[in-house]
Amino acid sequence: MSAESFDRYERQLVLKGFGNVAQMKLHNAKVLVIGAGGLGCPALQYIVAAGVGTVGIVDHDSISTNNLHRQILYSTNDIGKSKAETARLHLQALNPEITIQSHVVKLVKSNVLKLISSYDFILDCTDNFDSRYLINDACLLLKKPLIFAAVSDYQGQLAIFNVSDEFGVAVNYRDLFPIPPKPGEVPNCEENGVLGVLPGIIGTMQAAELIKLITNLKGALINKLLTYDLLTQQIYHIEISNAEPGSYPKPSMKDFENSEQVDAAVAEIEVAAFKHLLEEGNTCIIDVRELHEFPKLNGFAYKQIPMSILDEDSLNGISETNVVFVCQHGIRSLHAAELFHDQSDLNKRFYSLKGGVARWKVALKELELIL
Amino acid sequence: MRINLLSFGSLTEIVESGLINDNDLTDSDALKDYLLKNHPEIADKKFVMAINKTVIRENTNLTDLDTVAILPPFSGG
Repeated sequence: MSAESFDRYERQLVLKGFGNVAQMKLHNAKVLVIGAGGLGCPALQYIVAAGVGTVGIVDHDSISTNNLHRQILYSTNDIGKSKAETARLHLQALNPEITIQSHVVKLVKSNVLKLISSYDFILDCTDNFDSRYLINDACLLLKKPLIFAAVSDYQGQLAIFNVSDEFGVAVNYRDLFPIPPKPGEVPNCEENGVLGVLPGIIGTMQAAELIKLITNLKGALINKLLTYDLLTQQIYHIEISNAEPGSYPKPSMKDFENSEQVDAAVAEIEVAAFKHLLEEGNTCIIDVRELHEFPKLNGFAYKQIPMSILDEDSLNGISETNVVFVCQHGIRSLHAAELFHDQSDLNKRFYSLKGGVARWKVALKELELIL
Repeated sequence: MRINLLSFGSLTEIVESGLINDNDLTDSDALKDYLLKNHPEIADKKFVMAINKTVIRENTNLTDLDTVAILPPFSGG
């Protein structure tokens, strides 16, 4: 270890139970952080600072103003820039001694195995169930240790999956929740809001679990689900065991092959295509955000059907051929488009505005399409 | 039978944590029926149940002053 490295890590090198051996384990580890948002930012900062040798960052999104209250790796000057690449630049300045790789891609079935296979440990720092189940199944198939974290309102969840305990038992997310919730069944942070410190705390705890796991420190959350409550500052652990065989489909390589068509089934459109559809006419715009969300759409006719009440009957009476769903970040609108796309009897085309209002705020304002 | 119910996440909007006192709550299925009857909105919610901090997979006997946690999935990040 160089003199500079010794200086950098000195406070953990002298820590009882840590030392040079643990530091070398960190140095040799390759860690992939999926999602550079509320959880990913603090997790990344501590992972990089601690000296994990290779760190990958996956995020296809760009930085919005309303990210900054919790994603404090970014600054106001970064608005509009790529999260993964901006994170890489800031983190490389924090620790130039390690390798940091950014992957500006949307995680889908066709690329998840390739991305994950180059790393030893995976952190799920995403914000939606599609990604969480995709990451879980890919990690289960490739037997990759997965450190899972998620938040809701004032609480957070944390667990380690695919790591065997002393009895050789390893669990995964589907042992807790075998089948994904339906779109809109569980509210997300955009609908319910979140205090910035909560993902800060949970993301930092996620980094702590990773460091414990890599360096074989005692007490890692193997086969346990931790729930943290910000209001009471209480922590509750439960023990997870394997679900009954047949409770959920076991992932196979086949599930991740030939998936391009599935990924492309619902058209995600950029703002230019959105404008084109508006001009073309025969297009119904549906805002699936909750009633309290801002900015409101303006300058064209649209229907507001919040995701919390959207169901299969919601489109009855809509005569237009094109239906474009819109929400804040393009996640709920994609769910909505997928929900209706599956009903092939409807002679309609469904679209989702990619990145939502947040991403296109400036462009939509120029088009005078939002207040 | 006194059951110490711990409710988490969005489930707290449907059923609050607290002591439930009901002689019929002899097992986890009876507790689920009790929750469905008194809080029908819970039928649409996914959650995992843990008795005294251990996840249960099938109907399990309850004893007086057991702690039963109901935890929904979180997706936010």
